[in-house]
Amino acid sequence: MKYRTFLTTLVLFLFSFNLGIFIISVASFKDTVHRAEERSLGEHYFITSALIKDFRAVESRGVHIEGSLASLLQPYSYLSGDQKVKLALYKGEQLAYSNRLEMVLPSRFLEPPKDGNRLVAMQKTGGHSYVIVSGKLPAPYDSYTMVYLYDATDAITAWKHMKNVLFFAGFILSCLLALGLMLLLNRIFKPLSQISQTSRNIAAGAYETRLPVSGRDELSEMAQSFNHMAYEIQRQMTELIDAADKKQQFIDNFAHELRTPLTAIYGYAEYMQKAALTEDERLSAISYIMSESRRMQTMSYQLLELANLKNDEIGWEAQNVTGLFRSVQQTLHSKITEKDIQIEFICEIDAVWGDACLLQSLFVNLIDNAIKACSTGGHIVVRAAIEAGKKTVYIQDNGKGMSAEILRHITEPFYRGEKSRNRRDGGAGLGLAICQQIVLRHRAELAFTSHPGEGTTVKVIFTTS
Amino acid sequence: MKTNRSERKKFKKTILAATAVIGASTLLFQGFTQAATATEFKKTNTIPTSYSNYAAGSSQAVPNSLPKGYQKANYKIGAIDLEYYRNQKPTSKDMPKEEAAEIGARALWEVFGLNLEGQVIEMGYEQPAESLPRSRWYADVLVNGKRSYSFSVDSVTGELFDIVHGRTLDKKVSVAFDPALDKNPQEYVALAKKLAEKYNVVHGPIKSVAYNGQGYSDNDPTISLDIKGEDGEIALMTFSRYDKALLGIGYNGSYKPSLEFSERLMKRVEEKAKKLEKSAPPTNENEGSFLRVLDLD
Repeated sequence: MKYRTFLTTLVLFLFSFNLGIFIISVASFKDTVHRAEERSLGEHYFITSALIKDFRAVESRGVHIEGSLASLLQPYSYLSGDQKVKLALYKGEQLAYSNRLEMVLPSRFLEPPKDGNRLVAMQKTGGHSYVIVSGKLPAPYDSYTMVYLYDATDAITAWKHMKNVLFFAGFILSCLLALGLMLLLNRIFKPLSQISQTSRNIAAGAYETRLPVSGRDELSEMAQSFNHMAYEIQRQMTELIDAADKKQQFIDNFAHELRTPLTAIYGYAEYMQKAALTEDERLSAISYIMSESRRMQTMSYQLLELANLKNDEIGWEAQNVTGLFRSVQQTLHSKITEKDIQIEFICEIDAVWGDACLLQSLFVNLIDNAIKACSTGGHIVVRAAIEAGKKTVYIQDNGKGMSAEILRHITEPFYRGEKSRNRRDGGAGLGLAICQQIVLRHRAELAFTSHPGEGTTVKVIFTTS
Repeated sequence: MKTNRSERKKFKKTILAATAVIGASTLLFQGFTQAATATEFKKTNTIPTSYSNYAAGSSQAVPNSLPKGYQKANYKIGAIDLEYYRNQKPTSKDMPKEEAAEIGARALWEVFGLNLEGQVIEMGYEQPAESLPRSRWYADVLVNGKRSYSFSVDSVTGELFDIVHGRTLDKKVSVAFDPALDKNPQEYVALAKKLAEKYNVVHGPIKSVAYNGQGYSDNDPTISLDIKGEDGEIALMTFSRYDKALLGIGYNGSYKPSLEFSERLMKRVEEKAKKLEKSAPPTNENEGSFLRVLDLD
């Protein structure tokens, strides 16, 4: 493209430029010829006119003009002392007088029109350029033809020199322009080459590649836009990769979660089929099969709930926080009592906006996790207050806490910080994933702060109410 | 690496193409110019021409057309007694000196109102020279024994070249250059135009009258003006700055060749001076001679 642009621009320029030189050259040539012709016509007219006068004067003296032609014409030879003028007087086609005329004239100049009109032309002879003016003398001397030749070689040579200088200067200028044009196009096309190279790099997977931005011109604006596009592509690609990774992780975890109860169910079923069992053993095996089946049922319910949370609309009403806390306390009463947990509800705000069931499920899950984290006689504080202008619910326990690595993954489905705990508790590792979805549907934020051995604090920060 | 090599190849190709295009374009348009100018050498133009003005207005050259009221005077014709004139003889093509004297006598009567009855005209023949490439009869007119007028006539055609009234004033008059007149010579321009029309000095309508310069003759301060005719003739008229009297007319026949001769001479002087400067440039202004003799070929 660059080279094509270069050649096209160069050809267009050369055409215009050389056309200009051509027009100037031809115009100046015509002007040179015109001036030489005008001068020659003027001289011819003057000499012819004076000659007529002289002929009359001589004839009036009774002298025959043919005998006096030389003395009558000789003075006019001196009119141009630089040897550039040649004169010839013909009577019919016979040369009656000539001055320095060595050349043979074309016949048309010897027989000019009889109506008094003169002929003028440029003629090249023997390396010289002549203006030839030929005309018959008026009556009664119209048998004579006066031919005037002006050597315009110097003027034509000067014109040729000027023309050659113009074309040579044009050639040099064209070379300089070509060089300049090439440099300019290199500069203009450099960003395009960079874009092309950068695009190839991005297409090859090097999403971090960027164009250099310098200056404040259109090219730098274009580079900025391109870099912004590359950044967005990189961001979206990262998101897509993350999403794909998460999906893969989910599938892996799900397969793993399914395999354990299925293996157990299959094992107990086979045991029941092949072994001779006592009634107690049979009941125990059945109990295991039912327990694992329930776990799978719970898991399927929770997965369904997770899917529904992503798709269904939620109820959007003001929920009394005290009422919410009371209902959560009732739901978890047995677990609290069982572990002798001291739970404290502090309510400093009236209401939050959202779905009653989902909010109750959220707090039951979070407080249930806190109960699980606490050892017997643990302490949990549930507090609803305004923090930094936003309604916030804190659930703080003094349980065993979690490492930062676990905290990063606890909202992922099937993630287990402790590989045995949830399974032992009958959970499938979907509780906090569901909590995360509930919080997101309420356009709220979920934040965990935890240190191993010091307990965990969960914050639900409402942004809409 | 591959891209760089192909890029370099492309670059070389483009440079070659650009050089070829520039060269071809220059040659092509040179060719066009040659072709366009060559056509000028093939053209023959026809120019409508009429010589009617010239044919009708040649009164000075026709010796047998008498001025109004003129009667031939009884004057004596002698020869100028100078060696220069004695060495030059008229040819058979030249008119006799009597005929030339009569042409001059008529002009003197017409322009100055001079009656040559009983006076003497001394004639001398001059062959063509570079400054006036025509043979002529020159005449000194003696009025009451004193050289008072002169004229010259083409010895072949009888064309009047010039007439001059030479006089010595009987009182002392400043002949110095008059700067005021130099700035505003309109009075003399008008006078010259009036008399040029009256005496038909350019043998046709006048195109322009231009101040030429100031000088003096004997003790008479003079002013000269160029009269240009529409047909290309040029004449010089000289007046006395003392009493505005017409002192002389130089007609086209002699004035034009002398002007051209002066131009050629000046050109040769300039060329010679340039040659001298090139051949021996003075290293110090004080060392170079102030005046140099130019040997014109």
